[in-house]
Amino acid sequence: MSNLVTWFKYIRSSFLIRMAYRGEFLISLVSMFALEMVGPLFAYTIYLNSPGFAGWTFYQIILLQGILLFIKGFSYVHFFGIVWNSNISIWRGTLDFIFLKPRNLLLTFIFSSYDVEDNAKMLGGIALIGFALYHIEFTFTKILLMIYLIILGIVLFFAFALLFSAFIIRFIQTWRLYEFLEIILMIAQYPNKIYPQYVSVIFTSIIPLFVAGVFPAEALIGSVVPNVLLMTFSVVFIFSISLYTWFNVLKHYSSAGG
Amino acid sequence: MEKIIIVERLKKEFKSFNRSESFVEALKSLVKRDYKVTKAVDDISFSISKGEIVGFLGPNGAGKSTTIKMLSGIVYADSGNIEVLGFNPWKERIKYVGNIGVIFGQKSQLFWDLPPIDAFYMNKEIYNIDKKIFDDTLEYFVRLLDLFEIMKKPTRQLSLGERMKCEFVMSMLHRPKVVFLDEPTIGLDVFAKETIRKFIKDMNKKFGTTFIVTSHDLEDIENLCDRVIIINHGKIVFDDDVSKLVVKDKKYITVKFYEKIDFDKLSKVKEIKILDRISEHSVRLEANVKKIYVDELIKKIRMGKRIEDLEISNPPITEIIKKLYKD
Repeated sequence: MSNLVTWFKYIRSSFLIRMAYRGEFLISLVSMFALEMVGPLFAYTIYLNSPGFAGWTFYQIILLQGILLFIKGFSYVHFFGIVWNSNISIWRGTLDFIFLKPRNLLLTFIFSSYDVEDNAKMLGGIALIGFALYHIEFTFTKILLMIYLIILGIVLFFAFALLFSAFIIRFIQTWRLYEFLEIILMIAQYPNKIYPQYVSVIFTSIIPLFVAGVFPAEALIGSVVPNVLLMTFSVVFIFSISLYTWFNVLKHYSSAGG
Repeated sequence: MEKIIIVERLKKEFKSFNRSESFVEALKSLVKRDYKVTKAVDDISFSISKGEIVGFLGPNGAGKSTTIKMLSGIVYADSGNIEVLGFNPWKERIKYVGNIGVIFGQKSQLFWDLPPIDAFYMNKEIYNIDKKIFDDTLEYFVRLLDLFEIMKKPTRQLSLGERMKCEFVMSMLHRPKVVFLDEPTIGLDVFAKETIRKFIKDMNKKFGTTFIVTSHDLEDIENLCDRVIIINHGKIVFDDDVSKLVVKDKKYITVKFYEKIDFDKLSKVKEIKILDRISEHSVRLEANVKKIYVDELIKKIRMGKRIEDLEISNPPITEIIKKLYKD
């Protein structure tokens, strides 16, 4: 309960901080929303002009894009900020302060990294999913499986965030990781069937990236989602490794200056 | 007196990348790197009693801040043991940090774009401070540091002195038993320094708070601390009362004569060294009084002349500390 109150306080502070410069706040919200809509529009263009999405209807493509945008937005808002925050706080030397709070290190770091602007992504994702669902028939079981796979996708993103943050803390100032993340997201935003089989197997079972886009959408539209159990195992395994790495790296944190 | 900080054989090394300034060396370093191991803290032991204000001195890179960071649980030690208030800072971090406060003079834990009051309320939640205790403590600090208007302005609009007052409040709202201050007066003007020093003394007197202060400003140490620990190259070179920081066999003498001084003759007095020829009539000397009484030395310096004015003093604390740093 106490952690929940603290989390809300941090969210409140994040909004207050961003709203201190209201012009910049509004512009960044609008521009981020507009920018994130480019992905779905691009996918729509491909859908209209090529056979790349064979077997997918327009609304299913929108659903896929919406799920990806939602997972990305949710992750960026709630925990991916630890990646940018690692860079900034290592640079300013303020990472020290999270050790001084009588709270779980990871929770404190996540709470203090809340990202207001990316709510535009998350809301955009929700809007696209809502729009697609209005036009797609589904059953209760299918939607449950979709939600389960979305949660798996979010956990996978959390694992990436932890690994990137650990990498930054250990090796200091590695902004280029952001580009690596974008490549990962590009892979996840198209149906797995368009990739060569070995690529599809790697990103289905070993590093199940498709769980962050394609598979939840396929679950809803009734396609067979391969190896849900294996994907679950892979995600849990990657998450455990990431968690261990993050805490282990903090044990070797050497602080800055002084 | 109850020992609340016990440090035993503490060690910490840092590995840093070492290369020359040439571009070729930089290219080579992409493949193979030379690392230099620095002993930041080299086998130090000390203890501190409840209610003490202890100064932690040392030149840049001596290991002061690393020691403070290990004491506060931020940095892990390579070996050795720390016990503060009965806690091991690394094994029982969450319970431990609820009992300490840490202030870094060069880092801020306030929100840059929000007023400090928002950060104070954030700490109330994080430290789970009871509402009544929080209100009473905040009111006390606001009165003591004259913060009523300041704490409502965005932090970015505050002067360094005002910001530092708020940093103190931020770190002490949960009434910590031990507070680590890493250069708390750095960059402050004389008035702000006085306010901060008075605040530390008040907290020590009213709540019995133990303070460990690192500073390059010796006035901080002279004004606040009873005891000083001097660290150099990671080792403790002095650990005693501030009053013991005197060199008994050395005096500084400033003397003014009615007549002109014969500096050639004066320089032949073996117990003295001329530091400054202030004028034809006056001079500043460093005297070794190990084997001679001061009155006998004055007689030697006088050489039959009449003295208009005479001042004898101990070497300033800065001189002693400089000597300890060099050693």
